[in-house]
Amino acid sequence: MTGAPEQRNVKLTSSEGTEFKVERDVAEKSVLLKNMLEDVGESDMAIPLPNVTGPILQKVIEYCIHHRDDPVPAHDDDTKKTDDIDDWDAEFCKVDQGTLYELILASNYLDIKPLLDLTCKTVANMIKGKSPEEIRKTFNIANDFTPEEEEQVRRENEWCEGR
Amino acid sequence: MAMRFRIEHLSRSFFFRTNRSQQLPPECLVGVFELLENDISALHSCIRVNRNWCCLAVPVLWRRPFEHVHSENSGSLAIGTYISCLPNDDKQRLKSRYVTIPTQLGQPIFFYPKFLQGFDCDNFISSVRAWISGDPEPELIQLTARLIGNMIFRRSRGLKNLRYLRKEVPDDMTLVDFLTYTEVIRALTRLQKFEFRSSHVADRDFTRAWLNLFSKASTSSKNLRHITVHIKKRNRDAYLELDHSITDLIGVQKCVQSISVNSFWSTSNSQSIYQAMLRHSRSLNYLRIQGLSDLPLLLQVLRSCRNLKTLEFAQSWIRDDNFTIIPSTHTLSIQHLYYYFDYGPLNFINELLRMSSHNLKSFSSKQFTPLIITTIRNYCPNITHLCVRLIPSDFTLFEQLLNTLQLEHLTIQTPYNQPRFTYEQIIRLALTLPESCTYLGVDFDIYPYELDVFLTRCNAKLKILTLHNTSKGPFEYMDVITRHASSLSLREVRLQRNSSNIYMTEYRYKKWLNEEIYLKYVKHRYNNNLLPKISEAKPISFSYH
Repeated sequence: MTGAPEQRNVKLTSSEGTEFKVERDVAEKSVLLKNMLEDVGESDMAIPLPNVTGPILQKVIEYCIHHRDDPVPAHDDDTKKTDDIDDWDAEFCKVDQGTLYELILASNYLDIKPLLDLTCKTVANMIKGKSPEEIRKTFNIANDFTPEEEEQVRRENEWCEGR
Repeated sequence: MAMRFRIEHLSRSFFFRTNRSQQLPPECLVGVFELLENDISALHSCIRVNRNWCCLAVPVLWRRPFEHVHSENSGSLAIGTYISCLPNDDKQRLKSRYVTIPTQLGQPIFFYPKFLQGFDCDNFISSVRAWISGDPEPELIQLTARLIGNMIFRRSRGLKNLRYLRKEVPDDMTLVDFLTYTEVIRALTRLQKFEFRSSHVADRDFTRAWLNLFSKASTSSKNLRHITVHIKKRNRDAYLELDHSITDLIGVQKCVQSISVNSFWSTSNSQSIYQAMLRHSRSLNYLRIQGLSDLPLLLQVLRSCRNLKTLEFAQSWIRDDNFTIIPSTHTLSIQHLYYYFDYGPLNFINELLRMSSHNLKSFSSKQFTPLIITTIRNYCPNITHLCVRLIPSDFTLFEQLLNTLQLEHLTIQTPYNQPRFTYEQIIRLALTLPESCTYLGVDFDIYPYELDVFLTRCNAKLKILTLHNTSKGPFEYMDVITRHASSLSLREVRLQRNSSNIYMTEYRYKKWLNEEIYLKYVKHRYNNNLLPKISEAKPISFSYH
């Protein structure tokens, strides 16, 4: 019986210097890492990821392991759906807002499109159905409009009201 | 006024002013807003959050305003904002024609025309007409439309979507007008989506104008990915030049992914139309045809398109032809099949089911006869999504089919002129529904006490329950559902409008569901944390969209 060929592990180092070992196909869910691994070839050197902290890298790896057999997403898929999050992904995104933001930044940096889509969809779903004030409260954003600006923005975009 | 702000400036100041770790960079925020592109209400909230969100969300909000204005008033307000962007000379031209430009339309914060990526010709002209008060002369409407159109196309970075949906309304703008706007041809070079549907029947004048549009689109746009063409002819053998023109439009593109057409062409041109489609046999993943024509030729296309995943047929108002089907041993790659025919060639759909075989994952059909049920049972074991119109007398056969499928999604509609499901059949449905089923759509007459029994006996772990028919009033149904919500792990209930709220706008209906049904009734009476959310259900269309 022939088994699957043995995969070499890839070492990744988080911003604090914590080392993570992952199988190559898991690491290659990241386009950034895939390109680096193709350029560098086989090497035992750890790849430094100075923009990603250990706990976030741990979460990213958890996501990539779970989705390691998913097909490569089409880049020209222009569907704008936010209600197609499966159970595992929804549970994965049940994190505090700071972690969610860091996951977005990490997936953007590592170029993991499905994770970036998932985390952005989670944020989009947090926005849906909320008033501007509720959004500010949810995301801890200060309103820096002057009253005049606020009124002009409202007037110029009045066509959207009542939708 | 010191009110004008710019994205570059704001983005920088935003980051210096706030705790960066708690905020998203602009490119990620734009990514979030793009996911909300079709949710105008959410984007409208976003632009009023703060200056940074405003600067990043406004360009997304103004990409396709004329595809989203559904009332004359909202269209008129969008035009008002465009008018404020016009150069002073153009404003003076309008004033000299006694057009009133409201004084509060000062210098706008953004130059909105440059964000435009999608243009809906019909809504544009209706919006212009609505903006000019009173009963304006057609020339004045055309002048106003031309001034705005020139500005939009001159400043647009290129349209991605062009939509020409022509209703039978008075003609204030012909196609020729639209095509003569400044730099419209340049704006079409980046076009990705071309949608043409006219309810006018082809005549000499329309044909000339349409040919001009199709020929301009063919020469300017080579990167169309989505093509929709629905042409009305009294006689399919008339105006054959339209057939050639559409053949060219499809044929000259590099890589078309989706095609939706009605069978407007003469049967003498079937070969060339299907050949044009075959040029995209590698890229085509969606095909919709309204009306069936030359099925043997169509089957050749289906067999050659190895990436065709979604196939949709709808009934045409014109007579269909040539249904001769020769059984084939080929396997089709179709995964999703939609068949919206009240009556029609059953052999054809039966053959498609047989050829799609193990690849088929979803099937939606207005015809669901014993022949089709048996074919699915024998050939399509991997179907997980079914949306069908079932005649109660076929229930036993359907029950046997349910036992063989690992369904995840089931929607059942019964014809209005048929007897309702019996109490016993409803219990049998509950018992047969597989555990894997997480979505159930109910479009048949069911009393609240029957739904109660159904949910008590149901083995499936339903996450979404959709009620299309709540003629007994939503409150009684919600009482029943809420009592079962926690044991079913139900997350969402969708309710279709009934006769008492049919005239509410989408926004008002959503608000009513949330305030009157959810907050004042369900949450007030059943104070627990496991209540499902309530949203609107759309009528069953048996179609992909």
